[in-house]
Amino acid sequence: MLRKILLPAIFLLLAYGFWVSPNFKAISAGVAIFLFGMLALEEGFRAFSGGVLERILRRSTNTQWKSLSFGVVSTALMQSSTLVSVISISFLSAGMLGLSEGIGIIFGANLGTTTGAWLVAGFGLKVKISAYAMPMLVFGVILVFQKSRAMKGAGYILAGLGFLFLGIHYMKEGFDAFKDGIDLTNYAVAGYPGLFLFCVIGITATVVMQTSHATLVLIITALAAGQISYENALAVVIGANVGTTITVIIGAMGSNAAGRRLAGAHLLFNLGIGVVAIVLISQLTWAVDGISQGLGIDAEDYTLKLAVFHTLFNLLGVLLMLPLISRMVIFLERVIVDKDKPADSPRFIVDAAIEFPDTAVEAVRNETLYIYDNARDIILRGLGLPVNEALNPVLKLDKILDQQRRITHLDMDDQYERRVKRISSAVIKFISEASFTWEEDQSAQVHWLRDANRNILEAVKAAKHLQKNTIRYALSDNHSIRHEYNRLRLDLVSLFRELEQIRAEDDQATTVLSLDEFKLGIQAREKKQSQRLYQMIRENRITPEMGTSLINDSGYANEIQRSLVDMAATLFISRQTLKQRAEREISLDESEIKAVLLKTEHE
Amino acid sequence: MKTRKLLEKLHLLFDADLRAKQRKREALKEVLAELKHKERKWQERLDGEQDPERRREIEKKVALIHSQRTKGLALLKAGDAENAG
Repeated sequence: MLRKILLPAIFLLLAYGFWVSPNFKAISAGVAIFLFGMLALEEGFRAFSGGVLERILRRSTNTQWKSLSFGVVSTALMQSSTLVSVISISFLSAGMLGLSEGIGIIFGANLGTTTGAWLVAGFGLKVKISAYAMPMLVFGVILVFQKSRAMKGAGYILAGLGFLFLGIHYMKEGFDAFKDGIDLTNYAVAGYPGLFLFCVIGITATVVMQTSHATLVLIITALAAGQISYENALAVVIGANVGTTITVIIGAMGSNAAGRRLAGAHLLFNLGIGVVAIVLISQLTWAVDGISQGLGIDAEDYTLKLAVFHTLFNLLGVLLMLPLISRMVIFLERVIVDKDKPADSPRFIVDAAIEFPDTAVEAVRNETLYIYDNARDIILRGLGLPVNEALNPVLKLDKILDQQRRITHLDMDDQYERRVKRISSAVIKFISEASFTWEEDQSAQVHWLRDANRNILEAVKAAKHLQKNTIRYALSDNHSIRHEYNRLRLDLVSLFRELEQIRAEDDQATTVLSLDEFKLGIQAREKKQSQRLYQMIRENRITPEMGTSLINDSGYANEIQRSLVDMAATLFISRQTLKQRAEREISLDESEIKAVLLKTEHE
Repeated sequence: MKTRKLLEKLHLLFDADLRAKQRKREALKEVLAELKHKERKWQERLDGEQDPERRREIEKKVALIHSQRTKGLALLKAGDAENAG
């Protein structure tokens, strides 16, 4: 009910305000244009999130100092700490970023956002800013109409900046004109009551406008026009700093524990420095006066002094909190935990990961890796292979298998349905729900990842067919058939071990093309086994019935191997550079591999 | 000549499709060059290898790389023909 009447009530209130005061109209329009500029700016930066953002984030966040610098620079460039925080949460949820690095970015973003106050107070109010806005808008809009994605993105950024400048201009004009009518400083509240009241105003304004930047600009322009006291303006700035976390918390609601922890860190930081700023307000004001004097800022230039204050208390916060990051990580990991997720529920494909194409792709990749882990365990256990021993690269399994006298039956159908198919279906649903238009690069990656999911499903299905006879013949008294089934199992173990090695490679030494050798090996072994099989039947070492089973089952075993190698090409060789895409195109298919095999045999 | 080159560069700047095709071609050429080097290296090893079993293994490797190169060259030619048409 309240929701239904809230929006019309706000509209009516604003309309009345516009009717009564044209200056209020100008200020509100300024805020609206400013917010529109921020939206355009966000749209522009999103255009660059097709791989570029991912690469920058990967390279510049491997240490805490780098993360901090990334936060400062990216926020200073994008002029939105909220956007940087939301991106970080999204990356963290997708498993592309660690919590302490994420916290570093958030701290940096808090410092980076202070550049906004400097820009407005030092540049926006000192020059005729609208003169810069006009050409920016014209050039920006022309670029927006270009076909190229990069040009379009640049256009949105330029137009966004133009709108920001225009918004500031209207706010400034509005407050200047207001000055002649009423003096809002009459409503100033001194002392701690004023500090708390304006702090709450700052929080509310930021929550409503969803950005602390707009609150800051509004307050700086009001301060320049003398419509708010310096003391109260400082309180609004503190409030805006706290209020900005609300947007981030809302953004983290659809995230997993990792994303929520980062939002928690953001709240702890901003709330913490808010409290410190309130407690030390007189000391901080004194320090601002001293620093301003040192920087040659006029004692009466309250807007620049406000920028000094904003930077000072955020810097103080970073210095105070930086040594506490590791403790903060421990605390957040203890307080915010994912409810024990059963093995049959997705881990990475959460709502927050669907924010950006890069994070969505990475979430799908990580989820597929999780499905692979489940599938590998099901295949190994289903075929009577102990998982830990099977994956230990130095352990020789042939003797263990020869001496095996008992295999515990695993319900592979049930395991497949719950731990593989269900999660894989969730992945497909996630991909279909992504509302953004996939760029060519991401679209190709998602297509391949979908194929990798299919490969895993096929491998488990083939293993299900293989299970019955494997349990029967791997324990048979007939040495020859037992040996052949153990050979099938050992080939699988050997492939799993090789795949684990490729997966663990940091330098991506294995290429898509080198995986063709695996395929060649599978076909060569298949051929040899077929020759051996007929010989065993001829020599009466196995019965023709056993032979038929072995023919079928080696087909299934090879299908498992082929599916796993195809999957590895997508899942374990993750950097999708142009070169790797070219390699993928050159990679040989089954018939081409067969031709290579035939050729080498005839030579 | 300079003006023509400048115009070509400008054309390339504004034609995203052409730029993407060029980058793809460059990547393919890079992979082919690496494969050529790899094939030559294994061929040299094959020439010096005496053990028949090991020779068979290396022969397979060389044939595989050769097939990959042949496929890559065909793709390169097909791309060039498409651009020319």
